[in-house]
Amino acid sequence: MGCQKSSPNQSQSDPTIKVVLDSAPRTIDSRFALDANSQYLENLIHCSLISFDKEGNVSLKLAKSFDWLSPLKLKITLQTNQTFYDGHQVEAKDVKASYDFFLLENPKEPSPRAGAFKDISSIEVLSRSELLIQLKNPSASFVSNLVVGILPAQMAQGGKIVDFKKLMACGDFQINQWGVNSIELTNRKNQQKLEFKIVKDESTRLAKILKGEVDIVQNSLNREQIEEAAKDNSDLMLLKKPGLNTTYIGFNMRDPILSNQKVRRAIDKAIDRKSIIDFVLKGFATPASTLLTPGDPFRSIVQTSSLDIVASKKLLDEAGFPDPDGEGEKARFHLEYKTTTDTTRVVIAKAIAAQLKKIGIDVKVTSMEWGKFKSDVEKGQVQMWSLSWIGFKDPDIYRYIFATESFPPNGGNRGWYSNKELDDLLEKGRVSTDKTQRKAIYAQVENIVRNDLPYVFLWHEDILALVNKKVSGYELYADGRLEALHQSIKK
Amino acid sequence: MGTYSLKRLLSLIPVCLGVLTLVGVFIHFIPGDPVDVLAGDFATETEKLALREQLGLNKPIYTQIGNYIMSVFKGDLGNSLIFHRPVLNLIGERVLPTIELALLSLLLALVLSLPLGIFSAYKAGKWQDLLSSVVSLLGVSMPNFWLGPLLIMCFSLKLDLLPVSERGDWTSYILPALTLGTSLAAILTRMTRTSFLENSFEDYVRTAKAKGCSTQRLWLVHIFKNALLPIITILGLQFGVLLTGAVITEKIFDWPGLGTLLLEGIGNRDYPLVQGCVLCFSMVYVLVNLFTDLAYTWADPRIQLNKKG
Repeated sequence: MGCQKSSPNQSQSDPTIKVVLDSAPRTIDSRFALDANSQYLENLIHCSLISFDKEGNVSLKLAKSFDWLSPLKLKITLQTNQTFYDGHQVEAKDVKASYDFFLLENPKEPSPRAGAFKDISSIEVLSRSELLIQLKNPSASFVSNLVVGILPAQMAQGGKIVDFKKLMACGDFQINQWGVNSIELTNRKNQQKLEFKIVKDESTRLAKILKGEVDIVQNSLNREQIEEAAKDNSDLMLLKKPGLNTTYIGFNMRDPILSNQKVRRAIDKAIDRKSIIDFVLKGFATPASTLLTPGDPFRSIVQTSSLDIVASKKLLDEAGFPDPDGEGEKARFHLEYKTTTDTTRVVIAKAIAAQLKKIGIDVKVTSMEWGKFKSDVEKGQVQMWSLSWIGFKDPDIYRYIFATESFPPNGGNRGWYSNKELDDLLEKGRVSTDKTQRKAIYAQVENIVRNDLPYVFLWHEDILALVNKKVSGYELYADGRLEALHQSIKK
Repeated sequence: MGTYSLKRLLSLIPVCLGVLTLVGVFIHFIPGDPVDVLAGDFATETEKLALREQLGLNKPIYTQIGNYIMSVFKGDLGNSLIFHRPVLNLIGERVLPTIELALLSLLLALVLSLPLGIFSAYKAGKWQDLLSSVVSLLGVSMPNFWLGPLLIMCFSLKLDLLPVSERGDWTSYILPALTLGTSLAAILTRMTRTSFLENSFEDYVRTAKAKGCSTQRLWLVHIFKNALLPIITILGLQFGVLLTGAVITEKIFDWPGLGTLLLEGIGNRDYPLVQGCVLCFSMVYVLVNLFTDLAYTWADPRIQLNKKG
């Protein structure tokens, strides 16, 4: 027997499309689906009023149309051809019951998704296929929240659904089996079978796609591995697409050094994004100029910060941190940079620390387990840190990240940044439903953020997938969702 | 032996109490909050408070631990915070694969180590003994997280003989069992060699030789039984290592066992799940040690477990 290398298509005749997930989805109940993998499955098992297209724009699904009767009144008309597993039509009363669950005053089991519906004042059923939603406050981004899967009215009023056999959903896929490490679905329309395999170890995920034990691995292999695997195997194809995400360095504004705007600007100018993208991220990212991604219609700043060591040093001098010994070993000041234990993130942090050393800042990189890292960032026990915002669809995300009202625990303003002018603009952007006006507002928002730099925006990472060529019709979505499995077929 | 077994079984109660208390205390020292994991980034403080109250996490730690211990003694290990299912059911689904893997690794280790250890002792000081020492040293030195991927690369990807991962037919057990059992096999080989070698110089061996006992019978019957005691001790102790080692091995091979469940529990700060898994590991460990003690009486009838002195 020779030492023959295995190939992904060697022994596969099973028509089931096998997709790898890096962790088990926690729930089948759309009202409680919070983790990414539960939401990916939710898109297949459940139907919702809207979804997002490949670029992250709102697309109609169960909803046929949205009519804003006033800034506070939204009339929704439903499609009449969507059915639950038992064949009965999805009606307005089902939508109302599903959303009413989030409006309960003291629910027995509070839903982590209730926050998206807090602007709703009441929901009224107008007919079998029409309903009227009354809002408490105008909210431009409200429609983008209507992605929660709809349940039959009776089920939506009940407790958490744990048994997949009892689930009555209205998506294209029905669950056949929900095991510890494997979830099997069947497409109700074309009978295509899907199997999700939970593979927690990265090297095992790579081995499985190389051997042909799975067909699709998306966003869960490191860039070096994925590139080499695609080069070495003619049976595999590498798909890539700019992702709806932004990686940044956050600063604690309560820190005496980092509260100085000139220091933040100096750091921004000293980071060589291109080198890190080329060498660490293997080119699978686009430099970021702002929080919003290049395809976002509300993005106004396109010019990324240019590397300028001289200007950077000058800014530090002006900030009152002169270099004590010129080109010598002594640092202007010391900072701690916290990141997770993810290998790529640690390498990036070390690369940035090395770049900042060139302008006289001594950076100590501390990597820590996710729970501890998150806790430190949220409690403000951090000077600078690196993270990503993922999957945001509306510029109202700026309010969640930078508004004074969003200081933890009420929001994601973990750097404790406060700017009255920005707060006013963000409130205007939240309530305005006029797209042109919103565009002008967010252009101002971006200018303030770009000049004040509560974050240094680094890059937008690509969505990457290794796909067996036997699978046709699979495409990438900018927010990483697995929506294309609706039309994927295995030959 | 019956009284002794009963006493040992009753000793499970204080062990459980100790485990539950210690795990309950230490898990609260881990930074991070289960409510943050469950409520998500966009939850308000009011929603988080409501959830904390619903889960009983707003109570003092000693009250939480006390309540948990009471419910455990009623047979209720609580509900998993992330899976929203009874911890007992989750453990029930996962305990068998872990025990299967541990037992298979143990069997594999015994099958490899006993002949190699005996042979090594028989050839003490010769090149075969030296080779066995080197192999054992290698076995002990290779950590599971390195050996597992190495075996996958060789036997699954290069030779295409075995599946990469998952619990399926008998072939899927080979690589995980090898990964988990190699280190134990190496330790047992050394222990067997030492024990057999020590016994080979005992008076009873000389007497047996003088009486004309064949070498084969001498080593495989007379010495074997006497050399077995320290090996049984090591087996009992190492079974715990197998269980904890399974955490890494299960992750590498997508094994649906207690180890991966425990990892998920820790990562998500799922207190009831972590407590349940650790309790289960501890109980299995105590039971295995009980069987080990009982095995002594079989190996050496002079040992009477229920008598002092």
